[in-house]
Amino acid sequence: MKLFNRFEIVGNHPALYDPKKKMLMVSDLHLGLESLMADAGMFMPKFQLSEMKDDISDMLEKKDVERLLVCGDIKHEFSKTSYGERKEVEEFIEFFDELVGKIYLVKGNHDNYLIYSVKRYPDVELEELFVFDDVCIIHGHEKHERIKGLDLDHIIIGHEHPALTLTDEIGAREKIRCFLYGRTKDGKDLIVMPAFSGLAQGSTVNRVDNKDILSPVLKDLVDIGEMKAVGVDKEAGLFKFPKLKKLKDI
Amino acid sequence: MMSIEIVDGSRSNEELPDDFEPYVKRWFWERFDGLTPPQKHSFKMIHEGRNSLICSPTGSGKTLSAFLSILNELFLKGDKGELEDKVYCLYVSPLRALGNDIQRNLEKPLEGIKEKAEEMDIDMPEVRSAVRTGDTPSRERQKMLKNPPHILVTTPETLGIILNAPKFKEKLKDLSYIIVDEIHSLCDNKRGVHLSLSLERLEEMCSEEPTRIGLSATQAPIHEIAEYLVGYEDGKPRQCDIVDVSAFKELDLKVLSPVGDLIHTSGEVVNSEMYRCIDQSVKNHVTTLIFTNTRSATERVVNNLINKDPEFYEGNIGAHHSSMSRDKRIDVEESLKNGNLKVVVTSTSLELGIDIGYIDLVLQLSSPKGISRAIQRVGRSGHGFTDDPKGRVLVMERGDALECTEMMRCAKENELDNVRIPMNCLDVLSQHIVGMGCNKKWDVDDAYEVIKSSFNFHRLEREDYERTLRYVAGEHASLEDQRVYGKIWLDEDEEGELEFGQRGKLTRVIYMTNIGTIPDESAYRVHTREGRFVGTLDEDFLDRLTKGDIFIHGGDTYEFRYARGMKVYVDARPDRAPTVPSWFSEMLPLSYDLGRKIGEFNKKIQDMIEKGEDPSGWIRENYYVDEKTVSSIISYIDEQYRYAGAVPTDSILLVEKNFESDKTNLIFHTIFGRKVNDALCRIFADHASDMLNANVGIVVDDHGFVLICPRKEIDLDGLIQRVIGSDLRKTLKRAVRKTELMKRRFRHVASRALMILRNYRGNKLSVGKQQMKSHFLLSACEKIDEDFPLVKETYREIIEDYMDIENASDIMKGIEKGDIGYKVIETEVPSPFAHNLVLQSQGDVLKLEDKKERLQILHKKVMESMESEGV
Repeated sequence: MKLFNRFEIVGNHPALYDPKKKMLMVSDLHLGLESLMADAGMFMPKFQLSEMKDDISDMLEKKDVERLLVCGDIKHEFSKTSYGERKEVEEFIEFFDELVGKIYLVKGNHDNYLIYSVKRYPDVELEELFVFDDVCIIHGHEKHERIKGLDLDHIIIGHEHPALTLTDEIGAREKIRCFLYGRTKDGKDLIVMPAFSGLAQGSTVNRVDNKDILSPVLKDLVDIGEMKAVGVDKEAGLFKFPKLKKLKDI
Repeated sequence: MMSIEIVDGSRSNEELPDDFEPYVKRWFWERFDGLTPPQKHSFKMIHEGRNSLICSPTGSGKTLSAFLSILNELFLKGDKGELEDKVYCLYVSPLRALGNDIQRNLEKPLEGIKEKAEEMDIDMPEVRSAVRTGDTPSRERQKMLKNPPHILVTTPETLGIILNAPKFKEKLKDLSYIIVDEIHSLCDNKRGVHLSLSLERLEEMCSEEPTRIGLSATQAPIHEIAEYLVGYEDGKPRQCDIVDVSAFKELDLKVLSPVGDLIHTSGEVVNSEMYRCIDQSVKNHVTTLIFTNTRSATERVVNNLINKDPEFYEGNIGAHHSSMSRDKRIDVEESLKNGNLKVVVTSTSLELGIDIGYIDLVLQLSSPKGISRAIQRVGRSGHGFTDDPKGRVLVMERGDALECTEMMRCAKENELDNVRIPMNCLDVLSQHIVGMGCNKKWDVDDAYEVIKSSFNFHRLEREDYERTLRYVAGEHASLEDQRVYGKIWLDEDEEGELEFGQRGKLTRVIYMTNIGTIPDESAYRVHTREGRFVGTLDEDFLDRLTKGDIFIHGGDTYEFRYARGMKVYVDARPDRAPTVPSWFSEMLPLSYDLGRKIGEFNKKIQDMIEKGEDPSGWIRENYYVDEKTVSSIISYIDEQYRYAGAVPTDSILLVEKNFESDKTNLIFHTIFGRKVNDALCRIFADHASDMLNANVGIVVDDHGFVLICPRKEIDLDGLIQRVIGSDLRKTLKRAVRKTELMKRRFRHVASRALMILRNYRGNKLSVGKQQMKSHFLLSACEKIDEDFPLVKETYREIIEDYMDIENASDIMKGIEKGDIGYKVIETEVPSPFAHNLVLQSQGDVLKLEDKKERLQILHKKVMESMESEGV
C-alpha cells in the first residue's frame, strides 16, 4: 500500500520505502529501552536489537535500498549503569553500514550524545532535519521554522508513536500501531510514522484531542481529527481506517 | 510405624501436665473450668516436644494452649538458670491484625501469670515476647537485636526478611519451637509455599531441629496438611502427631428458603421475604454474623436493613470487608468484641480467627461454596466452649437450595472437601534462592536437599531446579548483562562442585524490599466520561467487561465504555438493569468434592422419582432443611427429570444440544465446580472449534459449561473421543496462552520471581507500568526457552491452581473407562438445570487463531458499523 502515491509501506512492517530515493525509513527504535526498564526494576531480556536487525534485513531483501533512514530516537537513554545501549547502537550501525550505501539518522529527543557513537562512520549522517528535494524529514519533538520557508510537498515525522486502541463487543482490546497521514493546514502531505520498537509505548490517537498530542510539530501543522490511519501489524497485516475523528468511539 | 499419626481419644487428659508451674496452673484454673478438647491433647504433646498438628474449630483455645505450653517450658528453663537471651519460640500467623490476637493469647496471660506468681510469692523467670511485622518501627527492631525476645511473633513475609537479617538471624539459631497458626488459610496458596521454604531454611540454620506445632481449623486432607507442616527428610515425611477434634462441637445447621416457590415468586417478594427472615433472626439472637460472599452484597444488605428498621439498626449494625480502611475494620471488630453490635455483615473477611466476641448465630446468604468454609464460618458462633455453633443458610434460588442442602449434611457429618496444596512453584523458589544466596555460599546439591525438605517441593525435578538457578543467575542474558540480570553467581569451585551466592550489592536490598507472594492490587479508577470519579474496579472484573455492559457499582448502575491505561470510562445509566453480575470475579468456586456429592444426591432423588416414591420423607430424615426448601429441591429435580428425561449425576453427565436460530448451544451439565469446568470447557472448546472450523464461545459456572457453536451438525461422540485421545495439559495450555488471564498471572509470577520489582532504588513501579510491558516480557521469555521457569510456572499456576486440570483429567479417564457415562438430549428451550448457565451474559470468545484473525474481524466490524451509521 502506498501513501500519497509514493511512499510504500513495506510488507506488514511499520516502515516506508521511497522508490524515488531508494530509501527505507523507520522511526523510533529506542534501542536500549530494556536497560532502562531494568534500571526501573523490570528485567526485560534484551531482544529488540536482534529482532530489528532481522526485520530490517528482511525488508532490504525485498526492496532496492541504497539508503536507510531512522526518523529519530534510534536509541533510548544511555543508562547510567550500563554501556550496553552504546554498543547496541554501534552494532546496529555497523551491521547496516555493510548492507546499504548511506545511513541517515534524524536526531530525536532521546538521541543525546549519539554523535559520539556515530563519528567514526563516514557513511552515517546525523542531523536534526533532512531534506531530499521535496521531502523533509524531522523527528517531530521540536518545531523547525525553516520548514515554512522550504518548497516542500511532503513532511515525514516520528516521535508520536501513534496507535489505535480498538474494543469490540466480544471484549477483545487490541492496540495496533499505525501510520497517520493527511494534509497540513498549508497544503503539504504529512506522514507520521509509527514506532518501530514494539516496546515503546504507543499513544492512542483515536481517543484524544489535539491538546493531548505529543508532537508540537503535529499540533501546529494539522487538525488531528482530519488525519487518516493505516494500522500495521506484523502478523495480521495492514488495515485502512478513515479519518480519526470518526474513530473516537470505537 | 507411620510418622504421621492421628492421636486417639484415649490419650487425652483432664489435667494440665504435672510439671506445669504452680502459678501457671493457678492462673489457668481461676479462669477456666476445664480443658477444651484440643487442649486435652496439646499441652502434653508440646511438652513432650513432638511435632503436632492440632486441628479444631476457631475459638477452641488451641492458640492459648500453644502459648501456655511454651511459656511453661521457658519458666522451667528459667528455674534452672538456663534461660538465655535468644529466641526460643517463633510464632507465625498470616493474620493482618496480629496485634489483637497476641494481646489476648500471650501478653495478657503472661501478665496474669506474673501476678499469680507474685501472689504466691514465687519468683517467676522473666520471659519476653515481641511482635515483629512490616509495621514494626526500626527502633523496636534495634531493641530486639540488643534484647532478643524469647517468643517472637511474626508473619510469613517478615520471617522471610528475618532469615536474611545478618545479625538478627543469629538469635534464631537455638530455636526450640515453631508455631504456625491458621494453617488452613496458608496451605492452599503461595503464601504457604513461601512459608514452607522459609521454615526449611530456618531449620537448616538451627543447631537442633525445632519442634513444629501447627494450629488449624477444620480442613482436609489432614495427613497432607501435616506433611506440609513438618516437611520431608530423606524422602519421607518427618514425624507428626495429629490431634483432630474438629468434630467435637455439634453443629446446629439448617437451610432456609424465604418463600415456597422460588421460581414463580417475583424477585421483589423473594427479596422482601429474605429481609424479613434476616430481620427476625437478628432480633431473636444476641449477636448475629452475616456472610454474603461479596463486598457489594455486604453493603447492600447493611443499607437495606437500616432502611427496613432504622431505629433498631442505626448504630447497631456494622459492615466488614477487605475494601474498607483498616481503621474502620478495627472499629467494627472492637465494637463486635465488646458486644456493642447486634449484627455485622461481612463478605469473607471475618472468616479468620480474629476475636470477635460472642456470636450466637451465623447467617449465610446464598451458598458458601465449600464444606470446610461453611464449617469455619458457622464455627464463628458459639464461643463459650460449651455452646454449639449455630448456622443458617438462606437460599434464594433452586440451584442454590440444592447445593446447600447437600453441603449442610456434609458439614454436619464432618465430610470435608479437600484443599489443594500448590506444588513446585518456581517463582517462590526463585525468590528464596535469591535469599539463600544473600546469606552465604551454597553448594548446589546441598541447597537442593534443603529445598526438597519442603512439602511443596519434595518432588521438585532436578532439571526444573537447575533451570530456575540459571534464571536467577541471569544466564538468559548476555555475559556482560548477567551483572544486571543475575541475582546470584553460579560457578564451579576448585573441585568442580557447582555453587551459588549473592551477586550484586543491591541484591539483598532487592530481596528484602520485594518479599512476598501477594501480587500488587491493581485498582482501576472508574470515571464517567464527564470526568466524575466513581470508584475502583479490580483487574479480574475489568477483564470481563465489554463495551455496553451495564454493571452496578456502589449502588448505582453504569455502562462500560472503554478503558485506557489504568482508567475506566463509564456512563451513568440509572434507568437500566445490569447485564453483568458485578460479583462475578469475587465468586468462590464450588469445591470439586462437594460437586460430586451433589451429583450423588441428584441420583438418589432421581431414582426415587423414577420408582414413583416421594423423596420428601427421606430428605426430611437425612437432611437439615425447612419444608419450603424440601419442596423447592424436589420440584427442581422433578422438573428437570420430566422435561429432559435425565438429571445430571456424578456418574452420568448430561449433554444438551440446545438449538437457537443461528447457533447451537452444547450444554454440558458437569457438576464439578468452576475450576474443573473451566479446564474442561476450554479443552472442549479448543477441539470443537478445530472440528467446526469456527469460533466457539464459552460460558462456565460451577454446574456446567456451554460451547456456543454455529448452527451446524455437531458430532458430539466424536468430539468427546477426540478430547479423550488428546493431551489435555497441552491443549489447555494452548487454549490459555492468548488470554488476559495468562498475561495477568505471568505478571504476578514475574513479580514473585523478582523479574519485575515492586520496589527498586526507592521507586515503586506502578501496576499500570508493570502491566503494559508484561506481555512483551512473556514473549521475550518464551523466545529464550519454551520451558523458561517463569513461563512454565505461569502455566502451572493457571491449569493446576486456578483451574483444576488434575480432576478434569480424572473425569476424562473416567469417561474413557466407562465409569462415567453421558446422555445426550436435544432441546429448543434449555432444560431447567441449564438456565443459570445460559442466562449468564459473561463469556470468553475462544480465539480461533491469534491476533491476525481478531484484528481482521475487529476491522471489519469497525468498517461495517461506519457503514451502517452512514459514515
